[in-house]
Amino acid sequence: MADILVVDDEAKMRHILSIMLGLKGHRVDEAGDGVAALERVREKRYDLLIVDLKMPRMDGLTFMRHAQELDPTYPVIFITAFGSVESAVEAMSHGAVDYLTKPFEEHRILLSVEKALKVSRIM
Amino acid sequence: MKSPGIHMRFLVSVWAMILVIVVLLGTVGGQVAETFMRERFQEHMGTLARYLALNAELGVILEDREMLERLCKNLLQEQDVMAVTVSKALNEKPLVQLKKMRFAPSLPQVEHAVMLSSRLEENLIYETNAGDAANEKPLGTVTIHYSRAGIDELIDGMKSRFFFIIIGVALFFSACFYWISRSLVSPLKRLVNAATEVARKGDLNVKVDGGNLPETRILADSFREMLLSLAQSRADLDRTYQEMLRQQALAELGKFSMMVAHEIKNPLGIIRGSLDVLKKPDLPRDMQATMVSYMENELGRLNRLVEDFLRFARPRSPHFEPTDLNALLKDTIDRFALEMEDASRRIALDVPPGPLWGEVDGDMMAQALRNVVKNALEAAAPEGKVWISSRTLNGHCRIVVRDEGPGIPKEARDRIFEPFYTTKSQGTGLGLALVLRILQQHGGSAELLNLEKGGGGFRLVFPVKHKKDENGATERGK
Repeated sequence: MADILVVDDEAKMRHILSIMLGLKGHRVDEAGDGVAALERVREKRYDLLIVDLKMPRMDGLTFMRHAQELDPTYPVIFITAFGSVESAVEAMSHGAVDYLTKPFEEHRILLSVEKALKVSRIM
Repeated sequence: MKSPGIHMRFLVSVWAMILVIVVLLGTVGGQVAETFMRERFQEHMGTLARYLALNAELGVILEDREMLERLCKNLLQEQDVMAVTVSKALNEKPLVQLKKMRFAPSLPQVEHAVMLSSRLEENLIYETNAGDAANEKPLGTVTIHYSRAGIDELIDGMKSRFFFIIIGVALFFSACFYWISRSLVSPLKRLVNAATEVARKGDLNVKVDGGNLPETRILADSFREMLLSLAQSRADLDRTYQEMLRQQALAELGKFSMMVAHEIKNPLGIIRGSLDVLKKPDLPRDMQATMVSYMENELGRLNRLVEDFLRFARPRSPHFEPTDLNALLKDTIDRFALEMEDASRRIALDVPPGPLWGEVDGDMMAQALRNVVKNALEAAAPEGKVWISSRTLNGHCRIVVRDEGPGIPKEARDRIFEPFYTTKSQGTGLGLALVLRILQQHGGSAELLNLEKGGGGFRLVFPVKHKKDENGATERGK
C-alpha cells in the first residue's frame, strides 16, 4: 500500500496505470504535466513518482530535479515512448530508479514499482 | 560612356605622335629646302649676269651690237631668263635688249656692271686694291629679268611630293603600330572573352590562346591553371555538397525515426495497457467499455498518423475550382465543434457576409485551415480563445488565425514550418509543414505573426484567382 503519482500527458495512459496500480491496492494520483505534478508533490509526500519524459510545459527530467529539491530520496520511474539508450542513461544518471519504454507489459511495470517501493522503504 | 580600350588608346596616342612628328618635320624640312633652292636660284641668276657682264666687255667697248645680241640670245635660252638688257649707262638707250614673249616689267631682275677685264683681273689678284676698283667707272650695265615661275613650280612639286611621302610614311607607321597593338591586345581580348564565358556560363573547359607574346602566353598559362584549380575546387565542393546532402538526409531520417517511435509507441502503450486491463477477471462492464473505446481511439490515431505521413510523403497536385472560402472556414469550425465540446465557444469567427469565391483545391485548403486552427486551439488550451478572420485585398485572400496561447518560443520561430519539427510533446511536426506546402501550391504563403500582445498567430495569404502558369512554379513547394 503506497501513495503513487502518475505524471503523463496521455490521459488514457494515466488512467490505465491508475487501474493497474489501484488493483494492487495502491493509492494513485494523476497529473498531466510537470507543472501540475509539482503542485501535487508540494501538497503531499508520495512514495513513488511514475513520470513520462516528454510532456508539455515541463518535461520529466526537469520535474524530477524540482521534486528532488524537496526530497533528494524521491524514487522516480521514467516511462517514455523514446526508446533511445541516451535518454535512458541520462534518466538513470539523474537518479531514476528505473526506465521503461512504451509499450510495456503490466507485470513489467508492477515489478518495477514493487522494487522501487522496497528500495525506498529500506532507505 | 564606355571608356576606350588599350588598343584604341595606344593607336590614338601613336597616331597623334606620328602626326605631330611628321607635320613638324615636314614643315621645317620643307621650309629649309625651299629657302635653299631659292637661294641657289638667285645665285644662279647672279652668276649668269656676272658672266654676261664679263663676256660683254668687248661688245660694250666696241658697241658691237651683233656680238652682244648673240650673247644675249644665248642667255635667253635659259628657261627662267625672260629679258636681257645691255646698256652703256643706266639712263641711256640700251645697246641690246632682247625679251621673251612672257616678259613683264614687274619681273625681278639682277644687274651687273661691265668692267674693264684688266681691272677685274687686278682686283682678283690684288684684293687690297678693291677700293680702287670701286672707284673705277663701269663700262656699262647688264640687266637680266627672270621669272620665278619655274622655281615656284619646282618647289610646289617638291612640296606636294613631300606631302605625299609624309602621308605615306604616316600611314605606313600607323599600319605598323596597328599591327603591333593588335598583336599585343588581341591575346588579352581573347583572355577577357574566355573569362567572360567562364563567368557567364560557368564553363571551365574554355580554350585559351595566349598569342605569340611571352607575357600574354604566361598570362594565358596562369589563366589555364586558375581554371584547372577552379574546376578542382568545384569538384571538391560538389563532393562536399553531396556528402552534406547525405548527412542531412540521414539527420532527417533520424528525426523522422524519433518522431515515428514516439507517435507510434504512445498509442501502442495505451492499447497494450488496455488489453492488460481487459484480461483481468471480474472487471466491471463500464471499465471494459472504457478500455475498448481507448483501443478504438488509439487505433484511429495510428491510422490518422499513417494517413498524415502518406499525405506528406506523396503530395498530390491541387485541383483548382471555384470555392466559397467563407463557407469552407465555417465548415472547418463546425467540424471542430463536433470533435471538441467547447470549440464553438472558444472560436470567434470574423468573416465578411456573403460568399468569398476563390479558385482553390477545397480539400487541401480545408486541410491547411484545420491544421492551423487545431494548432491554435491546442496552444490556447484549455480555456483560451481563438480568433479567425478572412479578408480579400488586391486579389489576394488573407486568413488570420490568432490564439491566446503562450505563443511560439523564440528559438522555434525559424523552424516552425520544418517537417518533423514540433514543440509539442505529442505531434508529428508535419501539420504546419503541410500548411506551408499547400499554400505554396496555391501560389501563396504561410507566415508566423509576431504578436506584440503575446499569443500565437498565423497568416495565410493566397491569390483568389489561380494563375495557370504559376502552377509549375508553385509545384516546387515543399
